[in-house]
Amino acid sequence: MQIEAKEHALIRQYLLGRLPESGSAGLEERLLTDSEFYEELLISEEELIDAYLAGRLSAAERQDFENHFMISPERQEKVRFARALKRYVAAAATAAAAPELAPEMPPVSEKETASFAASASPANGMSTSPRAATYREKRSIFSFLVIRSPLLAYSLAAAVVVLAAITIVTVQNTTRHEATHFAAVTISPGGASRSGDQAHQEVRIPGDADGVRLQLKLAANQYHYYECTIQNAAGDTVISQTSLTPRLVDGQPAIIIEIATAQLPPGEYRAKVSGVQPGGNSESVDSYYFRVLK
Amino acid sequence: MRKDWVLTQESFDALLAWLSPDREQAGAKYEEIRTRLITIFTCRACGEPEDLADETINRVINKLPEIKDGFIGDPARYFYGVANNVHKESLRPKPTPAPPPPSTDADEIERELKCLERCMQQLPKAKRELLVEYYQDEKSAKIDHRKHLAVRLGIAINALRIRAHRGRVSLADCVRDCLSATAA
Repeated sequence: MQIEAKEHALIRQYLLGRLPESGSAGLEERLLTDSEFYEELLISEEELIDAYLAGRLSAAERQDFENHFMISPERQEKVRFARALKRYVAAAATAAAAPELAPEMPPVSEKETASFAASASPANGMSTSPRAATYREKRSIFSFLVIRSPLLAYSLAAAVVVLAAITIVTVQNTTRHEATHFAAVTISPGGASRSGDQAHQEVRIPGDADGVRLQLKLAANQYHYYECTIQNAAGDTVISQTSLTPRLVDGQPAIIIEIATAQLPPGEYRAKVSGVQPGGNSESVDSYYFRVLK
Repeated sequence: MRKDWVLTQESFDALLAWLSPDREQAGAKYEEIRTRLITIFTCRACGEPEDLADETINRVINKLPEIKDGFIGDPARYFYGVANNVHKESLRPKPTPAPPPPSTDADEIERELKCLERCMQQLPKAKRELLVEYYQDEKSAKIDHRKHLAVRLGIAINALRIRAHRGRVSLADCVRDCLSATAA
């Protein structure tokens, strides 16, 4: 049985505690008697949690999520798990996108075989383990040599190692030249100008930059994670990121957002940073106003 | 709420017999009803959903001798009616505010990530890849990605949602077990 779109919306409202008692009676009775419908509720729960972590809920939905949905410890656990899964998937996707410098090697021990087999890149080239690189086996690349003299074998081996090292360095240098160039810009929390308008800090993007690394300075690092949403002058969201951890910039904690120049045409922007508490509740931390010039 | 009634093996057996003549199916049905009652009480923001679900079941068992012969339809509906009464009663005394969420320190987060990674490695390759592919990307890129994934697997988008959900549930179970094992 296919669940209709209006039922999806109804389930979402129910999960956020927005349905009146009269409206939820039929839905709850169905939850008890219809297995597919119940599974749909569980899927909707996961989708709601993912949307929350990705910053895709409206302010009102967010409030209902935090005040109603998150009230039970089981759901808090689900949010923690979703956050961990999100991190894992992001790391796995990054690992999959990274160029493979070495072919896969057969493992040596049984334990390592299991670990390797589990983390090895599949046929489509995607490695699903973010730590796949650390599991990759160090195979003897000279095993194909059938030379009985150890001296000759080691000499040949040394020559191959030197050649391989030169090749790798060359490849790395080439890759570095072709890598994305981000222009770093540090922005402090924005205050109001004398006229009462927000004072916009100017961000000049060099012509050769592929993107901008916005370093949003924090007055203090008081939260487990941070979230950041950048909006243009029309109020449209340009980028939204969650699960951010601060790094030190000039000795001060800062949230770092990398954004492509194409997403930042000249104009005025506002970056809103929120801090996320251990239970998942978020609080507004600061706003940063900046004007992009090219 | 009434809690002086004691559940006996005999009365519990009677409940199972009412749910299904096949004892195995009856056990599954019982678990299903209990889990869903907990979900409903959770959705109603009740502080102790498991206790309320158990109280509901106890009351149904207590009433069983009177109703089982005359009741027609899915027994789950009867549970629902009783659950509503139990819920109303639970609202009479002012509910105590929910305790603050347990703190999550950096070590705990790291432990959870390690467990997640271990559980991911235990999954069959196809399932692992499906989870990573299904949950990657954001917004429109994610929607496009899922469409392509469904086409590649030769299934409808909704079937893909269900498949990813089931994988996620088994992964979450594995992580929970791993966390309790490493905490012990």
